[in-house]
Amino acid sequence: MSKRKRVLFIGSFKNSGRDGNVGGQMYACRSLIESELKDMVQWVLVDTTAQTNLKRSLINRLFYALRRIVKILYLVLFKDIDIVMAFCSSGYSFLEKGTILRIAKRLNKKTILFPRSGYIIDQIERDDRFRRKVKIIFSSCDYIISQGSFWRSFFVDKFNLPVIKVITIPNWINIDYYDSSKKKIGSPLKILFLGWIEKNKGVWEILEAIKRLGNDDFIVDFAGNGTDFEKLKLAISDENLTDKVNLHNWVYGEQKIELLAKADIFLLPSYREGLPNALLEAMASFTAVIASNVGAIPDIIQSGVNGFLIDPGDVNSLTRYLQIYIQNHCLILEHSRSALETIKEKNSINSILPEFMKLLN
Amino acid sequence: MCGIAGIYSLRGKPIDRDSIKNSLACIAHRGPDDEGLFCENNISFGHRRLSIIDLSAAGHQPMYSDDARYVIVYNGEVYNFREIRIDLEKRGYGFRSNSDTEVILKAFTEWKNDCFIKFNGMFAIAIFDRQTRALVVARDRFGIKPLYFSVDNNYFIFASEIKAILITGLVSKNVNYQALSEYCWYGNPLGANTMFESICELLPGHFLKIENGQIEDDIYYNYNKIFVREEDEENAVRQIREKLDAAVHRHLISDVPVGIFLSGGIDSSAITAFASKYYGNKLQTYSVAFDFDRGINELERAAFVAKKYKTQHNELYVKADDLIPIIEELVCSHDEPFADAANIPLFLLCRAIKGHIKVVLQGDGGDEIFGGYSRYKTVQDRNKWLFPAQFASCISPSATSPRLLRLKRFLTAISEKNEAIRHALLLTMETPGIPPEDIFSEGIKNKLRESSPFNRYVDIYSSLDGISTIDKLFFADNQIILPDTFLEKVDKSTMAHGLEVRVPFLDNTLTDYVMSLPASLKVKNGEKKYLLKRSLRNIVPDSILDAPKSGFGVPYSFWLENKLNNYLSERVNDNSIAHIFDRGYINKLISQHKQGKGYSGFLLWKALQLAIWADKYEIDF
Repeated sequence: MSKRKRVLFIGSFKNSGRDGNVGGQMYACRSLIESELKDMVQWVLVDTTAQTNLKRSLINRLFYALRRIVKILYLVLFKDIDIVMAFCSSGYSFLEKGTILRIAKRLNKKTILFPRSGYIIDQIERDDRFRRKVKIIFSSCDYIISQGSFWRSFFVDKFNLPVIKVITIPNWINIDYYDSSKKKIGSPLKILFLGWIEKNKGVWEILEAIKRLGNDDFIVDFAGNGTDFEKLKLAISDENLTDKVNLHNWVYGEQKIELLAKADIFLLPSYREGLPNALLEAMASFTAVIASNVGAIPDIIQSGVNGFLIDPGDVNSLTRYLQIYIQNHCLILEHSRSALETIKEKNSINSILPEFMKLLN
Repeated sequence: MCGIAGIYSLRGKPIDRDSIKNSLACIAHRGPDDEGLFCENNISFGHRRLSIIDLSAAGHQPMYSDDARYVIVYNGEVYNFREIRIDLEKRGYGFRSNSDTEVILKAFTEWKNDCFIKFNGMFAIAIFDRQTRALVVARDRFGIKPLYFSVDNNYFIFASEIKAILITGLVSKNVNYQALSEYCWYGNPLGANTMFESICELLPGHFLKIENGQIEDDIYYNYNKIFVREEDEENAVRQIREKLDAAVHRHLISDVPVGIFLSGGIDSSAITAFASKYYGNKLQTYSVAFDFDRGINELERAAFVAKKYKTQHNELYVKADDLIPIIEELVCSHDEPFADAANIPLFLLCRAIKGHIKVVLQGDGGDEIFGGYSRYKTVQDRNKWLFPAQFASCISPSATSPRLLRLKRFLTAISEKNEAIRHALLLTMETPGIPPEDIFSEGIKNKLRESSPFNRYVDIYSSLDGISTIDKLFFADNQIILPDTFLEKVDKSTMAHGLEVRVPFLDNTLTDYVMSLPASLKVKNGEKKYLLKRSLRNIVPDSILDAPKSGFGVPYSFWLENKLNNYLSERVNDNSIAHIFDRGYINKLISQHKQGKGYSGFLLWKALQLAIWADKYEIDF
């Protein structure tokens, strides 16, 4: 019997961050180590869970990053590691994990990097230094995992990478965790936004669409936090939309599941995305989706079949599609069912395991 | 397969581009691969494409003629398009693509409305003449592909599905009482009626021409004009074999893989046998068992056929654990209450194979053109039943034994003097002694009194002279239950999953011939599908041809007694539709049904579909 490979897995494994947030990254990492991959590999885990969803100081970040790098160096040098795999976000998270993988590669380890944030595209486009660093990191890794065909092309084209080096594995969630036994679609229709309350998440387009829809029978829940939270709160009040719009802070656990289960329509009109968990969670909760055609979203949403796609910033289309759903509850039912089927087929842990098996073998 | 929709302002008002985009968004499931629009002043129409033939951009629709005079959108497949193309090439036409759409467009350019009769296949077509501003919409002769329209003084609106018309906001949601009357007797509206007062379905074999604000309804193919003639049996056997073989071959034309729904019955086995000749061992076949079929399925027979013809066989086991959302979505797929519960297994099967294959052949039409139902024998033997029928009135309508009530229904039907009504009564599970309209409130019952559920039958029979009663039944079935129930079920259940189903038994060449044969030859001595079976000897194994028809009935009545009983009760008592039903009466039926008494399973199933529809579509009664 061949020896099980020892995989140093740098990711997010704690049950929750300090503020109670259970992120998609955590589920992705934990579901992998608990899956049948454990019969094939021996996991050595290094947790990099962010302490909070809110912004942290550079010193705080550096302190934790250095501590992790030392720990990882020790493991790579003395613990018979075969593969180093890192899941990361954008910005500092990317640079930290990328640096670790470069060191691991120098030490002759197989290296796999999985960048999961959509913001990386902005950073690459606007910051030459960052782009050069990404190129160096990508060149030194054995494999880069992309979340969809858009990201794959972007990585390959932008950094002139060999196609074989970029593997596509869509994001995945625990479908059983969500309530897909849908209640009656009814009045008022419930529309949900879940995520960062920031301009580039399209929250202002949502507000504009709500204004245009006027007195139609619906209510909107915003759940999340971010730089535009207070401004949005003020705007809702100024526009006399408090009867139509509820603004919540971040919601977690049961509260989030309940909000998703009650929602008939989920909105994600972002300007940049990878393949966000919130979208997959909404689809797993039997909810129709209107999302922007960015990142890997078009890989799972086929406009008109299991939701609607819009261009970022296109308030007209957002309003029009909301109107179609409001007038045609049957279409919500059809798209919700189709979305749930998509998630089961493409974005469950079982659907992505074969790719990881190949990669780690 | 695809979806089409359009709006034509009859008063010259410009049409907003977004209106047609909204309509297309509602039917995107029919054609997820591409979308196209044509907007010009007072007309706008569009197309959602499921790419099957000529997958390139050259097959994009709307398609313009070379001189840009004509513009077409089209949903369907015309299997003889290559033959028509050769004919057109001889007449000097050039072609820039390999698509059937271009052939149809040029056929229209050449022959105008006479082109439709040349098309062998399934289609719903709209062609606009930009020079004369005339719009023509047409539908295939069997009604395999749907085409709905709404017309008033201001607009002509058409679409592959009703929802694409409703979303325009230009039509009312008033119920059509004639259709409601038909629905409560048969489980679906008949002919051109839909459950919406302002929306019609174009009849099979018809086309409409809209020009200068005027609308003309015309027929290009009429089954009732087929001349039934004697035929030598041996010759008939040979002809059917050849024509069915050719029909299956024609239906395999595709630029994507084609599969077969193989039930293990005669029709699908015959299709498999012929298709395997042309498709080699790459032919995919699909058989299915359901968790509700109580083990009554034909998986073994299907596997035997698949093995014999060396197909790549797929056996599926499908669970219906999420029954309520499926029932609700099916109402949405049909846009109407639709009570043939066989749409559930078909919907589930399509859901299971979605993404694996785009085109499948299915045996629909075999029973109607070759006589696969026992009522063909029943009408032949009517005289034998007339004596016992005199005692039908002895069975009280308030009897609770399902068996007695079934007998009463049958005897009442067989003793009916009017042939058209008799045949209608044999088809329905309702009986005049216990009218299904009793479930409605007084107000609705009053309005229903002005309608008759037998109009469509009486109308068709009035044009059938000089043929036997059983021949008339054949002709009526082909114009009523085939398009209104079975083909409606097939289109909506399959298109909900973007799957194209083809029906080779409804090939023009085959049906033209078989429909001209006397019923006495097709159902000889009362043997169902006698002639088809003879034609298939030594092609399909005897064990399939001679096996009793097994198949299972969807256990909706059992569900309503058990796991759907509360749901049914909630739905029909929902406040949003409080005015529709006579609550006392319907609740009594529900309670009796739960106790296993009475004979109201189908009626309650119809009530459930109606309640869901009325609520979801906010229907005005």
